[in-house]
Amino acid sequence: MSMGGESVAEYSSPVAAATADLGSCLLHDESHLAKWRVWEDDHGVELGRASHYAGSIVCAVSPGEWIVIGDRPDAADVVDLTHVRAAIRLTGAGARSLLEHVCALDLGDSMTPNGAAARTLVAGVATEIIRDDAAGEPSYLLLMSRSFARSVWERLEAAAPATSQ
Amino acid sequence: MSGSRLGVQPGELIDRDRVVRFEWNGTEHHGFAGDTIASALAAGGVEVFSRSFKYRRPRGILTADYHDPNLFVQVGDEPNVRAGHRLLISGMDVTAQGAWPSLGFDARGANRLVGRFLAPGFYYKTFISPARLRPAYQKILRRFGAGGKIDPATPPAHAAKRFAHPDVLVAGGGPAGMAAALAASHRGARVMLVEENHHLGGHLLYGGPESAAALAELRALIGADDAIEVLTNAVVTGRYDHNWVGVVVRHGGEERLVKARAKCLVVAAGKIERPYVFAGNDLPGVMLSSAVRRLINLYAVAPGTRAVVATANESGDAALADLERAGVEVAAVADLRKSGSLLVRAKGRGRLTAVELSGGRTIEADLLVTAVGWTTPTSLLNMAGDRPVYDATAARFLPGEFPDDVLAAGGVVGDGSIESVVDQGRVAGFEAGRRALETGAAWQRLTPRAAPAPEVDTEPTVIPRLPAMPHPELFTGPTDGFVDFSEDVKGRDLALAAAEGYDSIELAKRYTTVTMGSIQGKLAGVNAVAVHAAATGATIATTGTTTWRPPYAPITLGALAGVDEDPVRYSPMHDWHDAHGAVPIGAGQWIRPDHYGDPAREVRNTRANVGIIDVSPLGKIDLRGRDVPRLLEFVYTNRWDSLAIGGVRYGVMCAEDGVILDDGVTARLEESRFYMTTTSSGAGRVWNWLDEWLQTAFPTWDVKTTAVTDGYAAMNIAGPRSRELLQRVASGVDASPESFPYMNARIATVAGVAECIVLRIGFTGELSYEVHVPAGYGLHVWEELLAAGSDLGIAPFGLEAQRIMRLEKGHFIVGQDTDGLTKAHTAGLAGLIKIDKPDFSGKPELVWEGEQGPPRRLVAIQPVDGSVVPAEASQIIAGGLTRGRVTSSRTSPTLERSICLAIVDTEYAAAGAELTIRLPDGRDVAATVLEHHAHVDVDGGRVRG
Repeated sequence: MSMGGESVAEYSSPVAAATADLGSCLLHDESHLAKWRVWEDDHGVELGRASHYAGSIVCAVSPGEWIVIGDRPDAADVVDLTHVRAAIRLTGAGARSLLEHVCALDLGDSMTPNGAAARTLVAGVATEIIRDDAAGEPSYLLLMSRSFARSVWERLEAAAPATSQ
Repeated sequence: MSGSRLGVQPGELIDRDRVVRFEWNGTEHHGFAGDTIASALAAGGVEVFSRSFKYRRPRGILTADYHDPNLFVQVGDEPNVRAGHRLLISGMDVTAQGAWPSLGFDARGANRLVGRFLAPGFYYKTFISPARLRPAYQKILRRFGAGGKIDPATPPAHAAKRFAHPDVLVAGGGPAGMAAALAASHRGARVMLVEENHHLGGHLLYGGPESAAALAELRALIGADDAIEVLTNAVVTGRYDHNWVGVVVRHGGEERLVKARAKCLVVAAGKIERPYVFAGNDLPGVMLSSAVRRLINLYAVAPGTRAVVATANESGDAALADLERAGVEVAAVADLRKSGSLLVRAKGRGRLTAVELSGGRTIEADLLVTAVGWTTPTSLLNMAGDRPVYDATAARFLPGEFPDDVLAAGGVVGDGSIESVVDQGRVAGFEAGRRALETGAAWQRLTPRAAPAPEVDTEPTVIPRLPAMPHPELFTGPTDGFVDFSEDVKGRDLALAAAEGYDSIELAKRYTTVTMGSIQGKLAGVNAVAVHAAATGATIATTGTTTWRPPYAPITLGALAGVDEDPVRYSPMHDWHDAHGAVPIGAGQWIRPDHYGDPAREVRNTRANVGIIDVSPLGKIDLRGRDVPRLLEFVYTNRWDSLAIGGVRYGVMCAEDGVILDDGVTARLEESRFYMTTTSSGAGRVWNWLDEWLQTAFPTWDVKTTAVTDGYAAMNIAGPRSRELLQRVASGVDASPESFPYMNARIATVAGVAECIVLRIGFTGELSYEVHVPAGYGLHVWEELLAAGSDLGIAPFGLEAQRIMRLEKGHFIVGQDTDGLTKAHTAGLAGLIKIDKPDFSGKPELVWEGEQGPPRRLVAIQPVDGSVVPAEASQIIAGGLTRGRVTSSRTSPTLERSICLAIVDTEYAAAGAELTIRLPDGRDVAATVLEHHAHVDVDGGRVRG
């Protein structure tokens, strides 16, 4: 936790539930994770990629700009995005086909392998999408402006039955 | 009764253990699972399925598949269901369409008697004048339309779309398509195989033992191949630039759109059998050979009891063999390949009873089978730029040239044995796979996030071109008949159009409506060209085809509409508002509380005690860097370089034309850290505006912008007791007026939450503090403020109360009180326009506007009768002309009278001027112009206190 880290205040999630079981995949709200935007000449991760580094995920979806999920990065130009961006994780065998209902990108292994990162529209909302497989299972971390998170969450839930057809 | 169910057929698709009951025009029928509606009805002896579009002629089975123009029926409240394709479901309520009062007797059949009045152009020629009667004509003509009925109460369908990125997309699941899919997959491509029917196989489904063996083998291979996604009962509706391919997948009556971006498209659409033009060719009992083969082999239905077979090809010969095997008496065979052998006419009233052949021979029959040739369904190739070429030897159009990312396989390019078609499909699929992988590797090299591009084979394989076998040119017989069954267009109609000067096939098509009906000319296209060519003395080759446009098959609007994409934005305190009786209102993308029951009471409480409003949708932009003051100097009209740390300033942004773009306050939090707020609806626009200037005009400036609108929950506490409330919950800030004056900002810990930004500003005309809290703690701080202020009389207020209070204070809202013509002087902002600055956006226009004097002015006005609230947009008139309009109006709970802002011509804008407002109901009321914009707190004592 970043801003208000010393406070006793209760954090509220932007979505109604912490998790949702969609059958072939699970939705998790990870909005509480600290997130940062870094401007630097080089922050060590190439454009379009995301890497785990010292407990954080560092991703690059825009030239000269990085998003770090985890501890405050060591850099001069840093803005705290913890409360600006919500984070929704989608994990499971059906995660990709679910996302294909709301995202026009090619999410196949050749165009979006594990460790790929992109900024695109998901359910009509500007989203950073990071493929971050967990224990061999496909997993996607979606970062979007916090106020849209509930809409995206609900669209993913609504799309779930369609993936079975 | 001519139809009847046969014994078990080797390739039948029906499950005789599962009887399915349904209704046809109110009568109970039954069929088997696997039956189409049409096959079940045919098995039950039904011969007439519909009445034709124009002449109301009875029509029966022609092709027995998706493209049968005679088998459109209504199922429940779903119109235009294709009975030759739709599978039977228990309890279906099937009715005939357009037959009135009944299918057996159609009153409008009288059209047949007046047929000569229904020649092409009949509507244009007859119903054109007098113009005043056109609506009446329309009403009558609609009653004669042949379509189904739509229940207006049917809820709108929103079927989920999906995106797909196959390497190779194969359109058509016959032998060539299946072989192409397997070969492409073998090459390493991911394949989507799309088949219109419910089963893969195409004509192999009804081709006898050799076909069945080939089909079983292909199906087994496809079933075992994970890289091939098979979509049956689906259709490729169009091919657009760069192989954007639309696929509609059907689930009963529901359709879903798959938006596929294929690296390579293989068109394996097969061939469509063509009807023959002769007298009586539309009588029930006259069928194509492929229809006979489908009915017997797929559904075990005898299509008649006594048949005449007119054949010019193998399909007709095979239908003859099928009939003989099924025990249907074949009374005569006319081999149209032999010279002198002719099919003259079909005879009968309401159904076929006899067939006249050459030499005056008339044979009694209830079934006439025609096999006169094929049409190549080149639609998808044409959409890719192909112009098909007529081959007189093969008597059909064949594909010409198309782009490298489109290939064709199977019957669409030529003829051959199963083996040769499968071979050609295999090579086409193999090459399609190679091309797709080459394209994929190129895309991977260009896409940063992609995996490293693999090595790919760049050596193309030459695809053998299947030869098109010779076939006699058979389009029309010695008598005239229907060319287009959907639109009831006969050969003589096309001849008349040609005689009237419609000498281009494209013009003749539009004039006669040939090929423009429900099956879009899939059966009529080539016959129409042939008849038109004969009538104009041209050849088929020079006449050419009409344009085939997407969609290949109709799409329901629900599939196109998809799911509502407009996302909604929620404040961190949304659930609290919901639980506390807030009446929501949509404000742009946001859902906001309009009020909590009584906006006037919310205003009075705020002015008397303290109120709290959720203003989280306010646009917020974090600005960092040495050059932020330069940026602010440029985008705002007023001065910014002197703003001290902890200071807040109001600013107005104008576009280059001097028109007000947005307004808001910006605070300097640190030397090089600023916090800008914008209007709620202007947040995105302003962020883009800043970045556009930085990226284009000032790329060397050290400014970084971050949109942090969603990062802060914002709440405004307003009212005389708001300071006391802030003092109770905030630490790290001295809220006394001396150390925290009006238009200042502080970083404070509020209700235990650090790093909150507190802005002392006064949109409502009250002492007020806007508290910006990291969004995840917004709800916590909101609840703490309400708890801490309970003894101060705190109550929430909504958007409506805020709008009233800002109007009382005379603050305009960009977009409400200004429009696309309102420049800064017009809005009364002369004091904020610093033309001594070297440059700022809009400066030249504003200098000009200042010199000329604005033509209109924003003023506060009050109706003389304070009980009258003129509707917003009411006109202000003088001398019979419009001189302005009311932009905002409300009853002020503070003054207990109506108050307004208005834009009026300058000559009427002076303080004390008397105006006339015309209300929407036509009444005129008098109003007076005030000296200042403010109605309340004119001297600013409340906000500054």
